[in-house]
Amino acid sequence: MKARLGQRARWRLPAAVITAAVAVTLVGCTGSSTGITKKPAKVSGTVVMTEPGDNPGDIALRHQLAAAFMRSHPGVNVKILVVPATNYDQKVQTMIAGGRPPDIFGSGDVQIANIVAKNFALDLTPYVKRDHYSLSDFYPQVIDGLTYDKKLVGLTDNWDTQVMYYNDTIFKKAGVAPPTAAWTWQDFVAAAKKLTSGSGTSKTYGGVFENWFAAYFDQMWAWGGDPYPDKGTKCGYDSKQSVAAFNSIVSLYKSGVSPTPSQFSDQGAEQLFLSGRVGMYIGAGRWAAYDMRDVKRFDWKVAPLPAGPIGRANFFHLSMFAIARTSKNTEAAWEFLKYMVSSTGIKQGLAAVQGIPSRKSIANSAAFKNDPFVVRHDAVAPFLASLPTAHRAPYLPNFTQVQDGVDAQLDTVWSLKRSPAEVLPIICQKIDPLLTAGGAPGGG
Amino acid sequence: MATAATEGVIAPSATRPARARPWLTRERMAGFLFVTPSLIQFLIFTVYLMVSSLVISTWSWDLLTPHRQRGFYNYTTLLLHDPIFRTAFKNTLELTLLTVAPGMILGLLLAMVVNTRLRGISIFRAAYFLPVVVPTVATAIIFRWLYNPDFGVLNWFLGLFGLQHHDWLGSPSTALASIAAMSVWQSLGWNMTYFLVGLQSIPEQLYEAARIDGAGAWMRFRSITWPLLTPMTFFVLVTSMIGSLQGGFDSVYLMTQGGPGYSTYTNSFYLYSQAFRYFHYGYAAAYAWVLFVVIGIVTFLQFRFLSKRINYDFG
Repeated sequence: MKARLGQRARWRLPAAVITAAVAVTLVGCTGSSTGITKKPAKVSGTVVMTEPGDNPGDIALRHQLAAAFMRSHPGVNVKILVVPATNYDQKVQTMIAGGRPPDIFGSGDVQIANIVAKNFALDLTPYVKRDHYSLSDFYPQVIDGLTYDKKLVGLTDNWDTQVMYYNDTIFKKAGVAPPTAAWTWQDFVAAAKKLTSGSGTSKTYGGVFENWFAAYFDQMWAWGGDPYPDKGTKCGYDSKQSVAAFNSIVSLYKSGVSPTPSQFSDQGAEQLFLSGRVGMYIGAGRWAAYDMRDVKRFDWKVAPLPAGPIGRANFFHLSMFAIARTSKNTEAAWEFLKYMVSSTGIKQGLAAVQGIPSRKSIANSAAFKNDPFVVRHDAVAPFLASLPTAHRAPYLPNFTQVQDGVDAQLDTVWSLKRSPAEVLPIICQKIDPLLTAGGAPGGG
Repeated sequence: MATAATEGVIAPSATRPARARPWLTRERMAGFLFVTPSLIQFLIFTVYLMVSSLVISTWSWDLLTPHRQRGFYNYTTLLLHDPIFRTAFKNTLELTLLTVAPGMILGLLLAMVVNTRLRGISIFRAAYFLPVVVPTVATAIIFRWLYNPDFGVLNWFLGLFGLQHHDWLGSPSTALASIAAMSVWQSLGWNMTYFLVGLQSIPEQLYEAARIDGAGAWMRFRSITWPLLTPMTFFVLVTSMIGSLQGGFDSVYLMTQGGPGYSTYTNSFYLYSQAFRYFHYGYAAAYAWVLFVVIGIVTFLQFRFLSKRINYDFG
């Protein structure tokens, strides 16, 4: 025994020396201790990028950027793979699981924790360090939002947040002062009451509140609640503040100043606003402005969300480009990703950008701010004014399942059959197990 | 009595050993070659996948991270600790009750109506069959508008009688029945066609003889039509039950997404959610096996107790 121990001890020193030598060699070769290779002089090969199929403007922009990138990188072939938008995230995950990952995929906010938990996106931090890639021009909130568990999951060309759209024509006709950044919820309700008129199919609604999670999260935050406090390990729906927040939404439906969810579910709240029968619309980010570009029959403008009892709160939407961890061509993918979020890349898509450019220099440039469309609809300032009050999405690895559970219970609130005070505590009973690791049926 | 053998006719085997006929004859070989493509397809796409899903049903697996062996954990969780599974199963049974019997009765009535030799009757038959070939997406859009609480035809009709508007798909008490009504409308063409085939295979002379004997319409239906339709009725019942117990995925997905609440969650919709929304593949596989066994038992019971009552005698 003693002899064997001695033998093992004799091997320890040479083994340590060899290990150290190998490590030094590897570090020398890669230029870092993170395992990524030294930056190649030239990238080549094919880069496949998935793009949700519901946005023709964005698809056209990706093709335009790919073509420009290929001109400057003759050895690279960028293919844009348009994937149906319904359950897009699930489809991308299936591609990755099936061993045919896209090199770059678009995803965003609520999926970030899931992406990190399942480890299917490349952490970009080592690449940023290796290339001394400057992130200083990006809004800090953007980089913060794209970082989870100390990993930079992706980069983006734009950010977005929830705002309020209003029909200026209806406001002028009713002689009501239009919304301002100083509006509170009381101001919103008072104006909505003044704007509501008529009945039946010719009724004009003062406002429409779209009952999806980003909109009611905003309301909860503005009332001092939090859907998933303690970093997503607790349920916050049953707090007094949350109940009050939901009551404020439900009272809009009950009083008739907003159509109820069942009344707008078929055509959607945005479509109802587009029909010209609604004074104010809460429930969308800047993508709605893009949808409203061709509206001629009324004038519309953007304002920040009205403030709740503890101030304004608005969901911070982040779409991003991530590189699949199992990508066969990470270097070319990284180059193309950098190109898409570069000043050159973002400027190319400025006319069709649906959010606010992620680079401060471009978002504050005259080219963006003085665009006639932006000026006419005030389609930048309310977003910039909302940035300090933006809340990042709850980062839950099983967000889809948790939110399905929440929304199933909220249905009876939206149909006005039960009160928030009755339903919200039930939500916490139902989803508490889902917020515990391994507590979800089928998961764990 | 002497047999041929005992009378001196010697069997060939008595003189020389019979040469064993080779098992793999040319005919057998040809037969195997003919079925080989189907057999390979069956082994790969049915047997292999079923065995794989059985193995996966004992795992916790999200496709992206390595699986963990869980034994019967998925099955016990599903059957004992998952309230949504129980709700989905109950809803599926309700949907089965609401679709199978009405679908069959209406299908039979329709088949009897169009089983005439009037000029242009084929146009009516085609018209009634049309819902079968209309994509479910289009049907769902039409029915969503029919059920719309403000502008729907159904509520407009109720309004004519002074009745209040109702949120058909938004109310837990009527959402499932509203989906069932759409499913019945969709399947009516199939059921009508099957029953029409059954009706047209009944010999006309049986009805003539019954008329001569003074049997009225109801007597002819009870004594001739119904007994001789039992093979087709049994077929429609078994296939409708199998389809319904899976829980009409497309109509639920398009009409309500399982809501309001869990009031229209059915087996197929919850299974889909577990597999393709939450990436719980092991759990979904266990669910599929539970569903397979339940449907198998129901079908077996139908064969066991109903097949004896089927009348195949047209003579």
